Amino acid sequence: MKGRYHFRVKSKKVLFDFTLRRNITVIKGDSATGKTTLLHMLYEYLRTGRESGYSVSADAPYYVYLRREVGMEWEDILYRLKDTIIFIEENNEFVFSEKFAAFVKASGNYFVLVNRAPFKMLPYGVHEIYEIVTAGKHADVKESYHYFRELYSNYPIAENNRAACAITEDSNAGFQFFSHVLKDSRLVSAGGNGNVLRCLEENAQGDVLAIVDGAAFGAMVEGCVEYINIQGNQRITLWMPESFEYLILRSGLIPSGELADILASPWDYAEAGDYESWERFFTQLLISVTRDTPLQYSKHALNPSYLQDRSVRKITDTFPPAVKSCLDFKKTLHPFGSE
Amino acid sequence: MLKIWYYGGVSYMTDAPSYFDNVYEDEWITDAFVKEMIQDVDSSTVISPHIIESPILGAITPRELSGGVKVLILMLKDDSFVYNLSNCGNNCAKWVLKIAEQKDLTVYLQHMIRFEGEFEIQIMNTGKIVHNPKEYVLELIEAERLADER
Repeated sequence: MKGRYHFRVKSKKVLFDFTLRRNITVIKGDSATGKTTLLHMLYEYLRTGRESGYSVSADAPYYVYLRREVGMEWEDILYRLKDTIIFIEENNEFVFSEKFAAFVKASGNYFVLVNRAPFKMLPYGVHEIYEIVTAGKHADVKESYHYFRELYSNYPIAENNRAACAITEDSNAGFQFFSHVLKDSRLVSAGGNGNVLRCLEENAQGDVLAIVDGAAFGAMVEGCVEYINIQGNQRITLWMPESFEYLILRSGLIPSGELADILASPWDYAEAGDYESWERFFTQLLISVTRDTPLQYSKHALNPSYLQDRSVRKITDTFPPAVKSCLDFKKTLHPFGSE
Repeated sequence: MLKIWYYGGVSYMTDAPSYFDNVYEDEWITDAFVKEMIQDVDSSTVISPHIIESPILGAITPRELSGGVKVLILMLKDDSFVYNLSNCGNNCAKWVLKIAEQKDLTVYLQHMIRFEGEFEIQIMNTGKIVHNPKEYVLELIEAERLADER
């Protein structure tokens, strides 16, 4: 399953309007924002259609799992679903199991998980973690209007962060690139996204820039953000681009007519059954578009072509200003200066 | 005092909102403290034990209260189980602390609900008592590591 799916879920009193873009979407946030109401309306419409009194406009089949049915396990119900958007209410503990994670990765379905706890077994993106927000009455609809808002759309940026230390979750190509760009700064590899928080704790002196792959950092982001929020004497910026490969793909370094289209709508290309996260998708895409070219990409060892001045400049040009301001590029291989 | 088990160490009620629907009592809903919680968290006004006025949904019954406020009420009124505080959003945090001022309250937690100001919370996994957000977050991180190592 791939694609972007728009839902409008209506009763006489409320209207939920949202779009799903990836295989895993998480809804959390404050109590009383409408999570249970939304799933209840979806469930009732699924059960009795228009007779429910609700209307659901969705451009894909969907299913709602509220709770265990007598005599049936979740596998009995969910395993048979194909090309379906599956909503799962909180209080279903199986969503934290290895078995469920394996099902999510292999089934090719889309999943919408209502839960505040992180799903440590699943690689989901920070941009697909939402809260439901009430916009009140819209001029063109009589119902109370509710939509999804990203919880982590803005990464924590510390003003005046001079980044004495940079942390990358990556230990391979991404780390090699940043080692080169920041060759006079202290760079630490966390050796995996699960170690980023520990790395932040171990580097508790001086300003820090942490660079993580946002496409698969969903389970870790809350812990890191909460840790950063309690730091009184240390400036920490957490930068969460989709992935290092995504930065390269976006840089314009690789001549490819189709690339712009793919990056504009990755959901139309990232088949859920093939790619458990967009991090995998972008890596495979980069490998594919650079195969048998001077920029042939390997995640394990960075092709030196990416360390040439032109490449470095193109890639670092994609960095947001807030991140550039963290880094003392004067000490680097003059990526923004003259050749 | 509030006592938190983080990621394990205790058995807990897995579907408290459904349990609430089956056990709540009229007197719970009209309790002044409960009415205040419902007003604050759900922005809804208790009219009578069976009617609550929601600004979005209109007249609702206690069964249509939010999952978070149902769990708060259970924490206050029903000591039969340890409840999952991760059923509650950050807008419930101050109420959990207020309930824990009235009695020792042990809860289970699976995410970092945000407490503000000064408080007294025991993180049961480590035994440590924390007093502010910084101590609290650091101790949860430590508790999670202990749970992961098991």
